[in-house]
Parts: sequence; structure tokens; C-alpha cells
Amino acid sequence: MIRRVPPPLVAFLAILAIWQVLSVGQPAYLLPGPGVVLTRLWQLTAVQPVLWGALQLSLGALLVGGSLAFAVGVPLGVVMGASGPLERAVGPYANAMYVAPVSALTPLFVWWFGIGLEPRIATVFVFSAPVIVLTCYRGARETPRTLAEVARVFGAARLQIFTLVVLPHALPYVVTAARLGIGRAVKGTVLAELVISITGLGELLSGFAHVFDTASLMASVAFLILFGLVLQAILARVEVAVAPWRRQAA
Amino acid sequence: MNVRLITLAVILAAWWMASFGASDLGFPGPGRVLTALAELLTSGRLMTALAFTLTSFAFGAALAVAVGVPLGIVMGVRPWLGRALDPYLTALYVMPFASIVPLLVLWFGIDELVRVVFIFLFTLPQVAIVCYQGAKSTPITQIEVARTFLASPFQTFWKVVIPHEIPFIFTALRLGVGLGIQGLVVSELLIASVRGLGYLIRIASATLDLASVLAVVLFVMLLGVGAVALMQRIEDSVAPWRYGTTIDSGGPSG
Repeated sequence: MIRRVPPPLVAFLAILAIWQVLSVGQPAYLLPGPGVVLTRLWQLTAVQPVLWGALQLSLGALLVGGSLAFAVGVPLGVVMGASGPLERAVGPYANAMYVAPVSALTPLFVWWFGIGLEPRIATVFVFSAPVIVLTCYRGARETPRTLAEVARVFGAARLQIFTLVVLPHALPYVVTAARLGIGRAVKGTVLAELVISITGLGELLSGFAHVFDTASLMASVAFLILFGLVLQAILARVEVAVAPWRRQAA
Repeated sequence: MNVRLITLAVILAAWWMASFGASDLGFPGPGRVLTALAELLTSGRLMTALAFTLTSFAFGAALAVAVGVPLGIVMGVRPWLGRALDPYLTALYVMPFASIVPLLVLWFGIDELVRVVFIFLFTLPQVAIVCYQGAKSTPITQIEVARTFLASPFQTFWKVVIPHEIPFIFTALRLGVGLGIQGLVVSELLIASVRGLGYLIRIASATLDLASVLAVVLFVMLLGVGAVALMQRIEDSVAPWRYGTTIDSGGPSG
């Protein structure tokens, strides 16, 4: 009987049940029940579009920083994958930036750029650029040798091999890079709005926290999770459309 | 290796030249930052702050591994459970972690406990996902052979699934260390303390001592990179056949 229900739904109901039990008898500022939070989510998105308004304010840094990271990261990654010397010169640093705790840089951004839009753009950039570089690098790097060799046998110049063989192979990875990059860009945006300048979704979150409006706080977190999941799902669709044969990979 | 050093030299030279006309307030050169770092190290302030911060890191990351590894393995060998929980791990994974800090502060205060919880939650999803994928990808042929030779489910688990899983556990350990340090930095930035690294940065900023800010920031970043590189070494020596295949598992960063 239970096996006919989709497993994630069972888990969802179980989580709600546990949450409900935990919230019984707790004051609303400590742990509101799931019903309260879901109602609040509905109110903050559908009744009064508070969350959409905050999201709009956040989109500026997200889009500019993300686009910059994409514009710099894709060419750098692809060329790195195609050129040995550049790979050796830059590769280790791209890798290091990928694992480094880049959020440590935010105090410096405040120092140099103040607390306006620029430091938030810089934060989004350092969050998303490394993963974009490395993913595009892999795409170009993993071009099957045989393909490049066939092109060479037919007299293709180096530039032709790059544009006709390496670039098409790297294309689906560019979409993957966009998906991974946007995920980190959202995280960078929220962090910057809490650490650097209080605006957009960050302002909403800290505002709710200051008045102990826990239900709204949890509704906002749920909203952010849904926003992230939708973005990922859309770009995952694009990935499949661009390269249906890679459905299993990445 | 040589080209790498040349890049480093170029970066340092560019930094040094860029700082030439600038004041120490705006952009201190590498020399100033090194002096500041030496000062922070010899006075013991950096180590005191680090000791405080690293304690929460150690507890949080260890807890994430202790919970995430068994959770991932159980999800891998019980497909129903795997399918049931996978979407929620993904949801945790895409969640901007900074957004739950106000909630955690509400529940756990602003002392060490909240940092441990934050680092635990920050690290857990990725650790569990990697171990889940590892257990799930156990070759079915191996399991069938074991079954053909009348291995009990218990034996199949210990002699087939777990050996296949071990390199994934080491990947999970590496991710745990890297993410734990990232989570530590985020928690230091968002939760005010009077002891940790975040406090050190705040004091230096307040006294307009940018060289010290840079010194602490670079130190933390190098610490993160170094710890991950060390774990990568261990991982490569445990499972050399997977060398270079794990580049894409870096995880969330905020």
C-alpha cells in the first residue's frame, strides 16, 4: 500500500508530521507549525507580493555578477582546456579559488567598494566564476582525442579544430556551468545582502529576525529554496535539450 | 610546476606595483601584509582566534561526517529510502545557507553551539549525497555474484557494498573538510563573536588596519585550500584509480 505512493511524498508528509509534533506547545516566535508557515508563504507571495518585491531588488546584483562571471569564466575555461600552457599557469589558481572560502573576501569588498551595489556584484562574481571556469575547462579538455585527430587528418588548422571540434563539444558543459554558476550566485547574493548591505531578500530576512517573526522567516527560507530548485530545474531542462546524450552524466 | 610559480610571481609583482602609489589605507602591498601576518602570528592573536573557531569547525564537520556517511549508505542500499530523501538533500543543497543564520541564532544563540549546528547543516547534504551516490553505484553484477555464492545480505553489504563505498567516503571527508571551513567563515561573518576570526577582521577593519584584514583573509583562504589539498592527497593514495575524477564535487559556498 505505502509502496504505491511516491516516496518523496511520504517523506514530505513525515517531515511535516514531525515538525507539527515538535511545534505543539511552542511559542510562535520559537517554532511555528507547518500550517502557519505555509499560510505565511502564501500570504507573502500571493496576497502581498513582499517576497517578489525583495527578489526584484536582489536580482540586480545577481544578474550583473552572474553575467560577469559567465562572460569571463566561459572563455577562460574553454581556452584553458584547449591550451596546455594556460592550463598549467591558471589551472591551479582556479582550483584553489573553487575550494577556498571566498566569503572571507567580503570585508575587503566593503573596504574597496563601499556598501552599494558594487561589493555585492563582486561577491556574486567570486562565488560563481570558479565553478564556471572549471566546468568549461572540463568540457574543452575532455574533447575526445579521436575527433581532434580526424579533423587534423583532414587538414584542419588549429583554429578550425578549436572552433569546429572543441567548441561544440564544450557547449553542453557551458550550460552545466551556467546551472552550477547560478546556484552559487544565488548563495552569494543572499550572503552579500546580509553581510554587506542590507537590501532585498537579506533585508527581509534580517527584518523578520529582528521582530521575531519566525513564521515569515521560515516562509522566506522556503521561498529561497523553491526559487533555487526552480532555477536548477529550468537549466537542467536546457541541458537536456542542448545535449540529450548526456542525460546520465554530470 | 614552474609555470605555476611564474604566475604567482606575476601576481605578486602586479600587487606590489599596484600598491606602489596607494596608501596603506587603500591598498597595502605584499610586504605590509606579510609584516601584519607575522605580527598577528607572533602576538598569538591569530592562533587564539583560530583555536576558538576551529573547535566549532571540528565538531560541526565531524558530526556531519558521522551522520552523513551512514545516512548516504543506508539511502544507497535501501532504494526506497534513497528516492524518498534525495529531493530534500537537494533542497538543502540549493538553499542559500546565509538565509537560515537568523533562524539558527534564534534557536541556538550566538555562542559556539550555533556555529557547530551551522557548520553541520552546511556540510551534511554534500557528504550524504556523495555517499549515497557511492552506495547506489555498486555494480549490480558484483552483488549478483555474491548472491549466487549464497552470501547473506549482511555479507553482501560488508564485502561488496562497503569496499566499493570506501573511496566515496574519502571524497566525503575531503568535501567535509572544505565545506566545514567555508561554513566556518560564513558563520564568523554573520554571527558576531568576541573571540573568533570574524572578530579579528572586525577589529582590524574598525582600526583601519587593512594590512591585517588582508592578512587574516589570505590566511583563512590558504588554510581552506591547504586542508582540501591535504585531503585530496590522502584520497588519491587510498583510491588512485579515481585520480582526477572528483573535480566537480565542491559543493555550496554560502
